[in-house]
Amino acid sequence: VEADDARIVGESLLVLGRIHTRGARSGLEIDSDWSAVVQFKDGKAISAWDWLDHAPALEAVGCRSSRVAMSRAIEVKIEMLIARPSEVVWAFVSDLERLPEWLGEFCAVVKQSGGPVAEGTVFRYTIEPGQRSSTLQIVEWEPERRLAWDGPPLKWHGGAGRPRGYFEVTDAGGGCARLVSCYQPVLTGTMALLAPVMKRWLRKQRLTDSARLKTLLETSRS
Amino acid sequence: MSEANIENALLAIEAWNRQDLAVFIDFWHPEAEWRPAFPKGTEGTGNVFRGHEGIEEAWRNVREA
Repeated sequence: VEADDARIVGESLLVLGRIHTRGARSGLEIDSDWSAVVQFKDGKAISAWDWLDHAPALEAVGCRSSRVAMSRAIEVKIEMLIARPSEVVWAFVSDLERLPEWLGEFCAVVKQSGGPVAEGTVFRYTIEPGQRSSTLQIVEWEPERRLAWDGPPLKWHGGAGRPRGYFEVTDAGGGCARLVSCYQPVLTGTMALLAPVMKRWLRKQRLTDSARLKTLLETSRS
Repeated sequence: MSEANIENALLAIEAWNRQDLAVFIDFWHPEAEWRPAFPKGTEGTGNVFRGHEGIEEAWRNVREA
């Protein structure tokens, strides 16, 4: 089964793709369009219908054609130990204006809201390539432990990427901290079509960035 | 409905393709109902499969056909 498109329509998940089947006894091979409509409960699939055609699924969710916005969420999660106390690691990673020091494509991040950082604080960021700029907002803020961000989609080459993710810092004992960094952008348009490529790129980039962060923190005593 | 459900569905499709039953089953709610579009001639066509046991039965039906 190959999913060419997966998107949320109302309370359902609509998946459009193709299926290739080969009969074990007959040897008969069939290539067909394939579609599914899935409902979820508590994060698990509670009801699913699928068809060897796109039309029934589109009809089931009330779409007249497949020409609706495509959306794909990807996730890259990296966990690592850093040989510095958790409060030092938290102070560094929670200062989003320092992201350009360790996150590859970031050129600048500037806090736009007044007052101390908290849920609702807005930052403006600029990234390469193309010096593209948008905002992100702190949507979860638990001092010394966790922050999460979200922001409007940033356009790029006929598509867009909505920045989402979180950092979690915990004390790992022995003067070390465990950092979990999770990046969950939502891709639309051409970027959604390139989701597998984007995910591979993001993972490679963030592994490099994480190694840079670890070196930066472990060699700096400031 | 969460965007994470999209990622979960794509992971379930990957699990189906690489024949990883455990991951595929984990995608489903224990009270799930699945009406799969098995090709004609495959045992189970038109059936409703319920719960993890039913999902596993559907999985085995299509792979043995």
